[in-house]
Amino acid sequence: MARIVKLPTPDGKIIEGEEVDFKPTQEPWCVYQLEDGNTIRFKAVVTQIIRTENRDAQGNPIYVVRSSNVLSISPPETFKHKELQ
Amino acid sequence: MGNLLSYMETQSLLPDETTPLSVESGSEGELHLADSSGEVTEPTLSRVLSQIAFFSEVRINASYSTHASLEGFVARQYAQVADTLAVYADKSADGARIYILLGNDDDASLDSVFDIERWIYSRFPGEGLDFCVLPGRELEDQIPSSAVVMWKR
Repeated sequence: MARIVKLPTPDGKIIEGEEVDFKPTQEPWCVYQLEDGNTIRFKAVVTQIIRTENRDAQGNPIYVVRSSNVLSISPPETFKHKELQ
Repeated sequence: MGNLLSYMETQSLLPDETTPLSVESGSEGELHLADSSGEVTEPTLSRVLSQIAFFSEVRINASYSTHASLEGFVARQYAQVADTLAVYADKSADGARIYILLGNDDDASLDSVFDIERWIYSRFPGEGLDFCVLPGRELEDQIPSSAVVMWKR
């Protein structure tokens, strides 16, 4: 049974939406090489998708996507060895 | 700024539903607001500021590497299980072993923990994550000293 949730809109109204089950088909990490030698991997992990009752100007349903940012830092090999000594 | 400007224009930002408000972006990204009388009333300004705050919140997303770490994220998923007492992470070059300390070993808690484990494996394949569930506070002693507390009730 679909879960109904209440959502605040940008103009301060509260509307209802329906949680939609989903399956991630591509969820890659973005990788950033920093000038200080570290590498940061960054990923937005979508945890909930809600379909609102409203539609945009093209008639598409408006969704609210809730996500968490996840990142991991990979220090350069030289830094690891230095820290472990 | 484009999306914000577009949104504000489509909303017309009517202070009293009768006075249109024009919104233009300046050369340095600032917004110029004006209505037909050349004044911006306080309710209008308040509404504009609340919308800017809303969009700023959406558009600017800061993540601290400690809080948003993969292990921290995993720990917060387990924190949703009522019986979880603590989550530790023992990182290695190949990944991390996650220790989940539970208050007891009832079926509902274990099912929830294993559901989360399956979910994490599906969303983070190849990350070298390994899970060790410890059902009972007395089992905390089995967690190696190299493991770091990621979350504690």
